[in-house]
Amino acid sequence: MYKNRSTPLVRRVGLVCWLIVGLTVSALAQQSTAPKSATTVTPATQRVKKPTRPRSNYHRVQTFTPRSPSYTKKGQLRRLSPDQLWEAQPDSTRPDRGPFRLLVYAGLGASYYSSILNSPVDLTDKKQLRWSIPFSLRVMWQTDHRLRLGLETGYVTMYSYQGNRNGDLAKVRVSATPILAVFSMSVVKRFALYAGTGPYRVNSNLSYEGDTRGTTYSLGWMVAGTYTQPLGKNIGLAAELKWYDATQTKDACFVAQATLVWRALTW
Amino acid sequence: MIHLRLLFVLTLLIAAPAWGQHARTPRPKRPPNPYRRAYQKGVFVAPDSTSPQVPFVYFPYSLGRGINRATLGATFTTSPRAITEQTQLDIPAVHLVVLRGLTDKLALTGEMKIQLLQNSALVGLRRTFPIKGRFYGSVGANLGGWVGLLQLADFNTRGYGGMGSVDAAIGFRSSRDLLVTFRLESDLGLFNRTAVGQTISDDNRIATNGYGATVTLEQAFFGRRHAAIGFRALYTNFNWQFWSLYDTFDRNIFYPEIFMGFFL
Amino acid sequence: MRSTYFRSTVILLLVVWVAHFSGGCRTKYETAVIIPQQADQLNVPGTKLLYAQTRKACEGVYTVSDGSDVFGNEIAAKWSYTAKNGTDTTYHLSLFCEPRGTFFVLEGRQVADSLIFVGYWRRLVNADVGTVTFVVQRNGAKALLAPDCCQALKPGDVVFKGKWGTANDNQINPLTLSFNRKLNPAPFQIIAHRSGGRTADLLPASENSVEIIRLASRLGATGVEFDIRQTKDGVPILYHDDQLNLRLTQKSGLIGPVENYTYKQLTALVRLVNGEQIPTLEQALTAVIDDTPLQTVWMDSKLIRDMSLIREIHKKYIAKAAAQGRTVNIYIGLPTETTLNQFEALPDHLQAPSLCELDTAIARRIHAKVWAPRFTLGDPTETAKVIRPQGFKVFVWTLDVPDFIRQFINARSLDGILTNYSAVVAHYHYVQKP
Repeated sequence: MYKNRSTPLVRRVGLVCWLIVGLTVSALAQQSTAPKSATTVTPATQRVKKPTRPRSNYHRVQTFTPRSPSYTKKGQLRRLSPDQLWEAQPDSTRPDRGPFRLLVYAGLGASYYSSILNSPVDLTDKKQLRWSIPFSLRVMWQTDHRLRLGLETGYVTMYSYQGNRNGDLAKVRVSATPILAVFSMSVVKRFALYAGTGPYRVNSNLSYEGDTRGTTYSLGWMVAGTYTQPLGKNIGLAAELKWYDATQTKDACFVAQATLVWRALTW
Repeated sequence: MIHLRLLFVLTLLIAAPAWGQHARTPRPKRPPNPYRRAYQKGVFVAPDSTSPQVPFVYFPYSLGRGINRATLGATFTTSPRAITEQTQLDIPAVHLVVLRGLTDKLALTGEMKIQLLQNSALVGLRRTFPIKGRFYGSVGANLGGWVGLLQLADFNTRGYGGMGSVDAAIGFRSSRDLLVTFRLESDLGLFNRTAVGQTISDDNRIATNGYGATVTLEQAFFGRRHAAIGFRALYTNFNWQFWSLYDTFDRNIFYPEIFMGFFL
Repeated sequence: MRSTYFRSTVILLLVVWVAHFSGGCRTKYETAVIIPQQADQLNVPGTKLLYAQTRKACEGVYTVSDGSDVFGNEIAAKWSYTAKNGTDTTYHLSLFCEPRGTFFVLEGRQVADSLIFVGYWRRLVNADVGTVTFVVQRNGAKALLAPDCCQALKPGDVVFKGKWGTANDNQINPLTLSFNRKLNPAPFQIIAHRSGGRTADLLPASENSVEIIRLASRLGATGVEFDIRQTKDGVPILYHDDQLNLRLTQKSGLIGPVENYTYKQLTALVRLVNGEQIPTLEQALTAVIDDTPLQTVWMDSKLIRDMSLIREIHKKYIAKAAAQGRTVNIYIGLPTETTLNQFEALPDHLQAPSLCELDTAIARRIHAKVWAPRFTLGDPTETAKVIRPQGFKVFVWTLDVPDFIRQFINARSLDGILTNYSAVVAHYHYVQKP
């Protein structure tokens, strides 16, 4: 009964497989069309796309040429002055960092409750619903290096069930609002992975002998993968697959959603 | 019926990225820069092609003799529900990590966690070696102790203990100034002495307390600051941070830890 | 070459570690420990129930010869009973050991001129469990079965020859117990926390359930502590936490404070982790008085809205116990200023047996029967020396560390200990020499 985990486990594994397959398809789709000469060195003049309205020094300093190797002809380590190195290429130790961006993600899709769901008491005419339409809102600070930081919230109905108990109809619905600190990393171009942790505000609604609402906070985590297709200069559409897990209440769901990405701020 | 509809939506979502790939001219990639950051002790030297360009304390790479690295940050551990039940205790600790190069391969490691009422320190040695390509490895051993004094409200308790650990780590240096380190450790409990009032309890068994796995990222942060962030999953029978709860379980309990340190 | 070996060894070590982790992350400690069953050797033709005097004579401190490395040098043996529906009574012989909160629960029968005891053992600190069978033969059995038995058993008069096994193994390990002396007769209350033990100790019944109240005396308890809250419609129930959660209940979708729900909603849709209903205070007190030999009830007032209702129930069950000739001390526990104020608002609070966790001055003011300090304040010997002669009992809560339990008991300054490990307290109390 309650302790039987095999069926939901199989279901969970299935969903994780689905997530992996989906993301792989996304990655492959991109790989297959990527230019084969991606590694070829393009002349610097062609590479530099001058921004119309530069807001940071990121695009200005381009003194590095790929013809200057690290080693001299004699095979010795080439000693460069701090200034030469300083000018070589923008990197994260330099004061003229950038560009930084603030990205806003708004997503809508479908969720499937993927945890154990068994009412502890026998209900007649029992009905369960694991599907729902969740939405999420995420704000990310995109830095000039790999890791991005942000916050995510949203709303997802985890599950609902109903059935007759002692002659009366009982209805239960459980929903969650994640309040998560999210880290993100761009793995391949346009493809990013997200991982976050924080509390979930879990709500329950009971309709049996009156209506009763309950709220609790449950620590949890999330992982997600997105593929973003640019639609305009500051707008993109992302396909997002996500796993929400409120650990303390043992509520987990798989989410697939379309996410609108808006580059709200660049500096 | 709703299942079918959702399946359809999901399929569309997954397939959507394949669309429009040919329409765009792919952006040219930047060539790799052989002068990636070399920032050691404020003096720039031209890096060789394999050295990490990010300062590190966790990454298993050799540090020049006499060179010091340190991070100062915080560690957050949440209390296990098996012990604290409905109460959730999240007490952050100030976290100081120090690394000093002794020889090409050997380095001195140090770690302190400070919570004022209870503190711990570990000192150890680690030996690093290259594995292959961008992968590096290290093995290390640490020895240290903890001390706690809780004399407020309903508590009149104090305690101290000795502990040690051995660890092995694998590091991966990504091409984008990011150092990823995966470390496994085995924690050893040497002794613990706790007291309530004048009543003393001693545990002098030398035993394996448990195991831990840590993933750490070391990379640039904001401005010229570099940071190390990580997650440590500790599966142990004794965690010094919760000594005052007097857990009596003879079984390993899971303690998740998140830490973030800024390079000094 | 050497460095290759070195690297290979390190990588192999890592792989072994990972393998260990994947094996270590089990759900072994999430559900109640399953007590292994063995073939019924007791309820077969030719077996007889034990006489009351035989049972009484079995109680004592036994020296362990074979098996002392696992179960310690001395074991305390004590009988308890559980009555079903007030009539069908089952007697259990519990053995309390020193190491790791180990206890045995046995049932005994007479077979011809021998005695047979069958049951299980369990360590409370982890999930170790197994079966055991003891046989008492020849002189030992004769001493116990004699009509005039049990007046003055001498050391070695009774020997329990046993075999024990683990959950997976058969009973292949020897365990021999030899009678040494009588149990420590000093009055002392071993009060089981949360009606018998915590959910985290993976007992077969949920904490604060009627079922665990029936189990408590088998675990060594002579009393129970339970936590009282009131439902939305005012029914006093046993529930510890502020919220309905998965630590205490099965997933039902009902969350938030238990006080938000009516008793009917809770009984209809919520079950405790091992499947029991959340009991009312009256059901719990009925179980204590009708079904168990427990002598002390500590009713911890977690969140009470109507203290006068609690007091009415309190009075009713004190009268019920007296009517049955049972000595059951039922105390209203007062852990906070709020509950203290509610209690003092009762017109007859000076006559109501209460247990004060606050200052001794407050305990005196409300005429509490028991003063109960927290153990983390240290051994309350000095204070106890002052207030015990004034008629107060001193209970300490919640003490689980064996080293502290032993020292607190040896100080002989307490009247009782509230613990999650009744078996450990029982061991140290009963083996203590007068």
